[in-house]
Amino acid sequence: MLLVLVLVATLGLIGTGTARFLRIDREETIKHYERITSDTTRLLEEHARRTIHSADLILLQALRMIRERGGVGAIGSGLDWADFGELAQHLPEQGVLWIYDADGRARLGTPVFPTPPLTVAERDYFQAVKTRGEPFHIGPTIRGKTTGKVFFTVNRPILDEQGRFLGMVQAAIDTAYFTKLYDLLDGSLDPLTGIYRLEGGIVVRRPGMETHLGADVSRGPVFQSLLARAPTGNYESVSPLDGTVRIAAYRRIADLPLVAIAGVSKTAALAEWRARTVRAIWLNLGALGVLIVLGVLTWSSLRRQERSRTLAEAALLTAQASERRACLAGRQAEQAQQRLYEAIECLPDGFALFDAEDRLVLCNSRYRAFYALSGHAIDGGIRFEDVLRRGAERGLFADAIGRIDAWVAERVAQHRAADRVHEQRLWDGRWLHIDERVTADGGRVGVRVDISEAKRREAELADLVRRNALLAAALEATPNGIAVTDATTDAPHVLYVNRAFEAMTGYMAAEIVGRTIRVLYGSETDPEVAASLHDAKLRGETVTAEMINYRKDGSPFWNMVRLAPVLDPGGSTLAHVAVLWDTTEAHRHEAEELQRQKMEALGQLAGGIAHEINNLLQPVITLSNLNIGAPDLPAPVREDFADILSAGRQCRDVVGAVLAFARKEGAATQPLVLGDAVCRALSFARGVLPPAVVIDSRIGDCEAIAMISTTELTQVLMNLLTNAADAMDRSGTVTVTLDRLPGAGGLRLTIGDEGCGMDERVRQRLFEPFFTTKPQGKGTGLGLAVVHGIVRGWRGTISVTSALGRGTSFEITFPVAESSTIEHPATESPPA
Amino acid sequence: MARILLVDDMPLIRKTVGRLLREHGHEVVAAADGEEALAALGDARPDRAAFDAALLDIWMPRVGGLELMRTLKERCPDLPVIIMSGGGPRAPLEYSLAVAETEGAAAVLVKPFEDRQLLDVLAVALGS
Repeated sequence: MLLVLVLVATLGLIGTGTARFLRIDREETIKHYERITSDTTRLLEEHARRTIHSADLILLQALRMIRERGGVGAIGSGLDWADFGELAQHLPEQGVLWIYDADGRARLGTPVFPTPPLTVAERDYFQAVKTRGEPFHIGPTIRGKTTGKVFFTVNRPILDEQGRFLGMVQAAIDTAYFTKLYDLLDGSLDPLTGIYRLEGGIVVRRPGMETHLGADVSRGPVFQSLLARAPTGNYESVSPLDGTVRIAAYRRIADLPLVAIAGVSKTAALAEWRARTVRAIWLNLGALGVLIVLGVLTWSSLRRQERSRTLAEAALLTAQASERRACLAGRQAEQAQQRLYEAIECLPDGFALFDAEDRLVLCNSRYRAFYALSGHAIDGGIRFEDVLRRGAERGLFADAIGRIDAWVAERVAQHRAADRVHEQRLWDGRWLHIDERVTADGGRVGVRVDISEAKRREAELADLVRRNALLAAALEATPNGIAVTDATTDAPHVLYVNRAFEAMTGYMAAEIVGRTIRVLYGSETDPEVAASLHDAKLRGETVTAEMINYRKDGSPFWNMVRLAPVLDPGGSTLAHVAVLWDTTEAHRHEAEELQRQKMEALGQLAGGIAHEINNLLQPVITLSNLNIGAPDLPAPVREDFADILSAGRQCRDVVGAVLAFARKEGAATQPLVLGDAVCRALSFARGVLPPAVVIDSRIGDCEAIAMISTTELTQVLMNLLTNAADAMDRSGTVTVTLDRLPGAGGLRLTIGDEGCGMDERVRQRLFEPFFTTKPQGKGTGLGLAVVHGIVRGWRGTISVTSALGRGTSFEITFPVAESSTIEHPATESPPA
Repeated sequence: MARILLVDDMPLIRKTVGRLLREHGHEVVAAADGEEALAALGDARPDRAAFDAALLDIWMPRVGGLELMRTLKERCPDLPVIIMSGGGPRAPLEYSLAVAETEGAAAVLVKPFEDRQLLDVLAVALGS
């Protein structure tokens, strides 16, 4: 009785435990499939996004090509067919491109040529793009009219610049591209995998792609309610298409109007669980039998019986657990392999694995695309060398052209060694970076990365660097000063100066870069010219101006500057380029040339006048002399004749001085008694100055000799005295003093007036050619420049002091000549 | 006393310089230009000179002083010729006088000259 009781109790315990275990096992199995389906939808999403994205890139490229060829109307030639066909090669799974006009008539389709008279005006995808204006439309699955294949479409409108509808480009992708992947997924369970449009149209579905073509699953729970609630989730439902109850997951695909669904038949999913349940029941029954035997054999010992029962129970649990683990491990291994395949396919780089015999084990579609010319010959099992040779024979490898055998041999050796990365140039100019490694089992794994863009940039950069070096050398070699100033900030500063600029201004690049170019300006820089340069800068104009600038040592120079803006492609000013010419020498030459012409004209005029006057003076002098000598002449008349004679002689001196002044040859210097020369020049000047101007001459040293020319001295004094007369309003005293300089022993000639004087600004520019304070037409602006030049020619100096309202004083210094051979000044003027 | 040919296109010069020479005891034949002067020369030959000296201006119409001097020197190589000039419109005075000296003028005078200057060079030219 007790035994029966114990047996019943034991049986009850085992039964309850087993039932509980079986319930948990069922829940976990369902959860397991929920996880798997959920993971699968994620994989589907990734795969769909990549596929559609790559198709869209090709559509955009097609749109560009259509635009370049002049629009939809211009498309349709055999050449177009070849070009677009090449483009379509990049679509997944031998996808095709179609181009339709605004009425839905096919202009071009890559699978056939010539283009068949096909119209898609009534098709939903065309309506979506044309009538509903969708910029990007993914159509439901359809069967192709020309190919008979099952595909889905990705469509984009062709618009003109105003947005008018001109037609449509379409990429049609064989659903096999998806279903092939899906076939890789857990085959034993025959899962449902699919991509659907949001309103329920099937894009891709497995299984039953062909059967359910064009079907609509909008009645399903996902489209009825679940999608509205959450973008992802699990559910269990009866398929509206095949009536199967499925454990399923859905996932809204980011950025696209699509949803991914994966499910497994609940019956199939629970089949293993059912098997386990049956086995558990058999085990339980087995255990019962054992217990009965044990009970019969050892019923005297309850403790032993109980221990046996515990052991049996534990053994049962262990057996069940290990069986389930084995089952799970098998599934996980399969799943891991599938994920690996998918990951390799998703790589942005070309990937290929060859076995130890160099036969292709697997490669991804990117790898195939790189060697597109080798085409579909790249299949599993092909030898590496054959891949190479076929590519080379089709001209795929730029380096192999003309030497296929040698090239293939080199490349195979490289591949076998697989010890370093290298680069490969393709026929179309693209560059691949190839990294090959030896795998553990002696195979070769290779990755190919498209580095064309990097190569192109590298070449551009090298070219840029070379051109920059050339330009920099040219800038440094040019004799013109060049300065570049920044224009992007409010405080423009120097960015660059060349060597000529350094030589011209005395500022080294290191000193001036970063500072303003206005350091060249100074007191004599014309503010109006500076302002006009500034205005031109602001207006972005090119301008040429001439102004006085200052070197680093403070010395002025004439600078002709051409300022031009440097514009960026958008038209805003980045910098200014200033080209500088030192025109000081040109200014001086201009002044000297004008002076020379003036003197030449004056010389001709003076020569003619002097001839007449000298002839007329002859009777004056001769008759005066004759009458003075007459013995019976009254004394007052004799005095009158003496005065006439004196006047005649003075007149002759004036004419002589005019001739001396006008004569070019007179410029040669010679040692002269400076006091005499000054006296003679003054006597000439007296006749030219207004009568109210008095010359007070104080010639202190009449013996000292200087290397000068009387003509030039006359010119210098005439200029200074005329200026003095003008400054005094043609009335007043000019003091001319000649004395020795203290110390060194030079000579000093001072010409001082009591006129209006001048301000500092005028004083600084005084000796500058063409600078004049006189009214228009009165002064040439050359006088003092010439004086300056003459004095410099004597190795003398000229300086000026002035006080406004009190007068001006010029001081000329002469070095004393060492020469002892003196020519009398009379040799340069008419004999006395 | 000497017989002097005075050639100048300016009447006042012929009158005053002629009077100066006459007052100093010379016989003066005045001519207004080269043609007149050659006429005055008559049939003079080297061995029988019509004049003891000639005083010529440079700038004159038709035949100028330098050209006239060349003609005189051809016919009477020993005739002393004194050239005088107040400068000219086309060439500097110094240039003309230098040419005159090179071509055999006994002396050159720049107008206006003093009585003394003329009498001195004339005395030298006449060799007295």
